[in-house]
Amino acid sequence: MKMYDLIIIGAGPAGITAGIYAKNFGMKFLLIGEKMGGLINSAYKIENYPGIFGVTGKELTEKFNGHLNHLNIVSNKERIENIIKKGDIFEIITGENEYQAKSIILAFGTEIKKLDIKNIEQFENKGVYYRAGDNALLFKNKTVAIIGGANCAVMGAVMIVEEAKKVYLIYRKDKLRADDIWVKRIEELKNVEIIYNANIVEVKGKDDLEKIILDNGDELKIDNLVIEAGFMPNNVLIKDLGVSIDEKGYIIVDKAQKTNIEGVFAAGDITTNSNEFRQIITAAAEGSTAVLGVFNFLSKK
Amino acid sequence: MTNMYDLIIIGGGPAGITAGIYAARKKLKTLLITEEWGGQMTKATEIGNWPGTKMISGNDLIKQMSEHLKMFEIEIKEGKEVIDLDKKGDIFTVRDNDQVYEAKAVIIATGKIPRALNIPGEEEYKGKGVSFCATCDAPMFKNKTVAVIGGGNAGFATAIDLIKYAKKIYILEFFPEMKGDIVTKEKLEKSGKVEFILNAAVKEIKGTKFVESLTYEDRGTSKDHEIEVEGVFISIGMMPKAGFAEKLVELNKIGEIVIDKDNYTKTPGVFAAGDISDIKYEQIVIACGEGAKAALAATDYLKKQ
Repeated sequence: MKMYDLIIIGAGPAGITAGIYAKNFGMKFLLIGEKMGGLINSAYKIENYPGIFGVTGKELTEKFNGHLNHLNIVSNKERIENIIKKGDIFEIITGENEYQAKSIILAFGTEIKKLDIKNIEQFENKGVYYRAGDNALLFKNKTVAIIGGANCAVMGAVMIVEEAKKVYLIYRKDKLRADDIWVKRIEELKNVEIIYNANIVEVKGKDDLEKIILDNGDELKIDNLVIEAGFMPNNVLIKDLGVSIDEKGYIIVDKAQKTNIEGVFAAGDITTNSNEFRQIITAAAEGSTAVLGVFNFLSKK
Repeated sequence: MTNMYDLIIIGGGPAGITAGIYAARKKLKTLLITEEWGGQMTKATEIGNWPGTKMISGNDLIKQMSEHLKMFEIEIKEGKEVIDLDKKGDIFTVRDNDQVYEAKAVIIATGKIPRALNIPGEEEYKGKGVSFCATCDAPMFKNKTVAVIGGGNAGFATAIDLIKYAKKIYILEFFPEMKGDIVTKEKLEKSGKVEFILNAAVKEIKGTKFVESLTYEDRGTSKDHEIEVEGVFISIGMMPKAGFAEKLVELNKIGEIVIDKDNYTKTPGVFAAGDISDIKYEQIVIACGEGAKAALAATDYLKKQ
């Protein structure tokens, strides 16, 4: 079995930055991630990554990927099946391989949160979609409802309305949670109707989605429903490892991105750091800090 | 006459700029005051660890960042040094060389500056042979004899920059051994241009119009020595400059602002981000992350007021 100084799990901004730093430190390391760029791929427009203005999520992923290629860092597209600690050594088991490492950085981010709506599973990909950015081309001349009130939902609505006939933005509270700059943009758009204080309780249709029913009793005829209800941590992999998580399932780390298990670091959206703001730049910063922490850890061994 | 802002950001390095981008996008009425753009990073010729950009100079990166910032609605005062931060009731007052501004919240992101020796001649000959930046000034010392003060990695990096130009380089270290990496030391030795002087307490820089010599005490023998040099490069580390804020923030023993993990200082409404704070690691990407966190924390703070 191959032995590494460090294995980084996850290839979003945190894992990518960790890879760049590990390379510059001359570590023998491996970067494993199912999807290069992770969640940023579906971002419509990124305007807050310092120095790079107004790129799409896919374009920023391309830039990150180019940086990795330039440093000859290969990201293994393998699905992790288990992570086991044996003494001081970690064993990482993927579908194809088994690896060993002296330290690991958990940077596998979060996954899309699903909602408890009657019949929702029946219409997945038949009118019901998760994440606007991944599905933008589907909405040409359609009537689309999007549920959520944070940046992703509002940005998604602004993007969809470019193609769609009409967009309903449905949010459970009385005020949108997105950045003011996005709220202002969406309020200026004519074909967007914002419905506050509402939840979807049921979706209906024959083969494809036809209408949604709100908890105030209203029915809306729509072609597509996009769910942007946020994210939740994906921590199935760490159950056996004994890494401490908070009540919502995020990995508890200290200032240096260390977890409660010696040799295990975590970075990015999966952690409790960065005040739960979960930005691309804060994930990247956590990735950098984690490698500096790993470097200290390995040099003390 | 004062001007009232939601947020004043002090500092125009990566932390301050990122804080500005985030604050402007939150539609806070924001003022950013800075002496210059970039600070320390402008001295880096090659940055290879800024995620998404294979290789870039510090100057080019800070230009991209400050141009990004200026695309948003934000007021900027360049070339101004903040000399005092205080509090009147719930309002913070920020004083620069010629004006007072008021804000409901403040982010301090002034970074670090090179540590000075505080010896006679150092200030007098700054720019006349005394330099804190080899990357900037090394080419001016072609075929000249120079001294590098500091035998750590910073001093070694300075000497490496100088090898291409200088005729001879003295490296003076206060302690009985060089602190820098052995690999770099060997590289310096191989050049045949470098002479290491250990146990040296530098006492004075002398000259007429420009630097002409340097005096140091051999701490072993307590004897003074004078060496002829035309340049003195001071590389004894960096220091925070947070004195202007000491009424409102706690400083640790090396003068950094103490923050919690969400960038709060001991005074609610005053935040710190980047190298000026007591974070463990100092990197551009980390400073940017800290700037974003501080601006979002300030936004939350303002909403609760």
